Amino acid sequence: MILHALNSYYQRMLDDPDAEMPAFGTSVENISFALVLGEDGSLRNIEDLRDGEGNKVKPRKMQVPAAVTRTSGVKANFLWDKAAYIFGADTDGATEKNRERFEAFNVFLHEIGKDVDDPGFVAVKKFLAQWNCSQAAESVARFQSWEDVCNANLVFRLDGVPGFIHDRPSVQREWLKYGQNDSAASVGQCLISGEENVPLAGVHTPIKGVRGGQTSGGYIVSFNASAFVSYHQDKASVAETSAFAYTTALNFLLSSYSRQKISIGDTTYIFWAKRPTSLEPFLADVFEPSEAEEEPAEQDDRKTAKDIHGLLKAVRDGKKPTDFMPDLETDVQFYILGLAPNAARLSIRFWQETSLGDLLEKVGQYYRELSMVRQYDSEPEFPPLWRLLVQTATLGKSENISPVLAGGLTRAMLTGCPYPQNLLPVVLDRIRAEHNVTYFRAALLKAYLLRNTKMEEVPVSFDPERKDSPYLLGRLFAVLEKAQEEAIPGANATVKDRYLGAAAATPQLVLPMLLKNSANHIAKLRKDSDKRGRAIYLDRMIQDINGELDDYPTTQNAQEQGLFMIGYYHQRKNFFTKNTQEG
Amino acid sequence: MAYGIKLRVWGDYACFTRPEMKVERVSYDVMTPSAARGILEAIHWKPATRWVVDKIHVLKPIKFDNVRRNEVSSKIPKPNPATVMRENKQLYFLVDDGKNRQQRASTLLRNVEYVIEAHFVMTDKAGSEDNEGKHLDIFNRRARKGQFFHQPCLGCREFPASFELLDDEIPVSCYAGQEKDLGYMLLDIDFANDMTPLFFRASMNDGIIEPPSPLATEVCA
Repeated sequence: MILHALNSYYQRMLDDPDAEMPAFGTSVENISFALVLGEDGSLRNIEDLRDGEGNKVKPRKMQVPAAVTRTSGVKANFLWDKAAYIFGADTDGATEKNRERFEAFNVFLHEIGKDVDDPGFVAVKKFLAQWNCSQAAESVARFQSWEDVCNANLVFRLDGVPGFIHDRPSVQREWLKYGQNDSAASVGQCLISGEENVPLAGVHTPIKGVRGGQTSGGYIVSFNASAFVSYHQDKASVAETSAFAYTTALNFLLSSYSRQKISIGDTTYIFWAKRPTSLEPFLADVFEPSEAEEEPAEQDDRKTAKDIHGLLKAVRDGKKPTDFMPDLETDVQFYILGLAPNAARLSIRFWQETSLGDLLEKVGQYYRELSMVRQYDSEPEFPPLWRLLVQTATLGKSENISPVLAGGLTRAMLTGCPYPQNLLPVVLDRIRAEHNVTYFRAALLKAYLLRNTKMEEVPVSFDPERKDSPYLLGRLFAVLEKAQEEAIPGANATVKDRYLGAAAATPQLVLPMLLKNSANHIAKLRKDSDKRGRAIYLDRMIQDINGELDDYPTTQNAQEQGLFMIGYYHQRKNFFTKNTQEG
Repeated sequence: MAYGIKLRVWGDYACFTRPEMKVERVSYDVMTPSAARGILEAIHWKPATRWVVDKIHVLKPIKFDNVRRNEVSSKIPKPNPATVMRENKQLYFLVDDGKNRQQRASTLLRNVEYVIEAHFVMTDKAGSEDNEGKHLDIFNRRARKGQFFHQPCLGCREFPASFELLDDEIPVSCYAGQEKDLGYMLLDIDFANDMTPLFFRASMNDGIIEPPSPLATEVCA
């Protein structure tokens, strides 16, 4: 299923000329320079292929004959490689090891191109034959700075002829022929394509770009210990062509410029559709909407951001996504794959096949549950997942986010399953530790209460009609805090700093004492002629809320504490917005 | 289908590991025919018989979950069990070496329920005293009583399967009326032929998968 879907994605992108999906036998590599050779093999120039200026120069992404998997030891690539292989020298000069590399490059070239009489190819052979490794730095320095060249990947070009030598048809033909003959591999049935009697891939290309993984890449398919082998089958029945297709597709989706990936916690998620859809390039923004205050640089991006916002609004309000984007095909199959590194391997943390419409519905439900009146207008209406997760972590540091919680929350968002059970206690813990109910925490509490405890209704904003005791207790606490704040402005430690957690957990222990204190605060306010009105207003409010409460419960469970915090948050928010309505 | 049986199996966890992802295990969407065969063999098997799985009914929705476990990276060296048996010693395997530890993640199935429809055929090891009726009776008697040679499991030994012989109608699958392509799936291992894995294109119609017989031409590797 996973490899199968990736394989079909590769086939789909191969048909799309703009996608630049590398063909079989090639791979996309970072190339910085081209050596311009004369037909006699002399070095005429070194051409800078990099884009950008000054410190921002970036190597060009270029299709070259597929890279060998190099972990240790000497293995050369065909017609392109690092300076150490092509010049036999790098920063350390022409060391023994580098000469060995140079030799390997030469041998490999002759092995493949025995029968090639292409002038470009001959030029490369001649160039290698007359090259002097120990004078590499001086020879190169005539054209480019040696420091730049000696760490970069290089290709070849024939002077006066457009195109690169590895792109010349006769050379490519020879390379493909070599790739097919090379397989001393065993033969069998491919479990991706179903083809029989095809050469099976021994080592699959490593997958790069998964956050936290090794830079050289990790393997999805690997059998690197004896316990991983059953029935002596130490390789998967995957044909070489299929293995190439799925690894290329994966690397393509995971590449740094891919817009189809996001990282949440320790997992990297990628997604793609079976058929091209207008939403595919923006799906990352649906899961992780960019912040509203961030000004998109380009006109195009601004339009996209607006579109995404409108789409999210529509799905949150329970409308059909097609109402907003009429050309959207909601029945397209969608795949979401979550990968996490584990040693040199990659583990599949999440996999889902779903239709686009279904997915949007799930995301809409998620945002509907999360929707909460914002404390400040600058806060995002559709909070990105990482902002929510950071609110559950000690010191607000992303490295303190629990990977289990992050995974569970993502799963809940994408599949509609319940939120992780520990979400509620974790959020309450953070509130207790930091004495602060933020917009994000209130939203998380609301979402949890709605989905996991099947609470029928939790209001988005202040609801004076709501009569259940945890909510009222939360409101009461906010009023008591407000009374203190107005009576003693700038107090060092407020009621909230001292008692927020205790008031939520054990109201009966804390609230009577706070009420007594607040009588003092209100008395103080009343003595000030400017604030008398406030005193009466706050006093009446306390009376009103108390009138609805029979008794203070001795303890409240986590669920009730969650509602308490929401009541507190709403009441507090209400103090700051109501002024205009009061007139 | 004269000698057919119907067995309902269910469990909390299942992992029908895909051969390509058996390091960081990822389960197939549904039970594989060889896993079904394993369950039947756990209840009753003799060299004279060979089980053929006709249909697998998927009753509950396919749901994935993740676990991470600490395991070891090596197997018990091969001669060890042999010497143990010969010299009547204790079989043990020291795994406390830190280098022998491997943390492995599995993507497995939660809360599964299947009905296996199968029949058996007699092999060339069958003697004069073997006949279909006899083995069918033995199987039915054992399954009805809940007897087994070893605990039947759902793909991995650590996920035990509960089972029950089904005499009545097969319950309707939650996938009734739907068609789902499951891609290429392991059918079985061809033990006679250097343990070659055999694959078949699995598709689920109305929640039913009909694997071809391992002897059918379409699967001969």
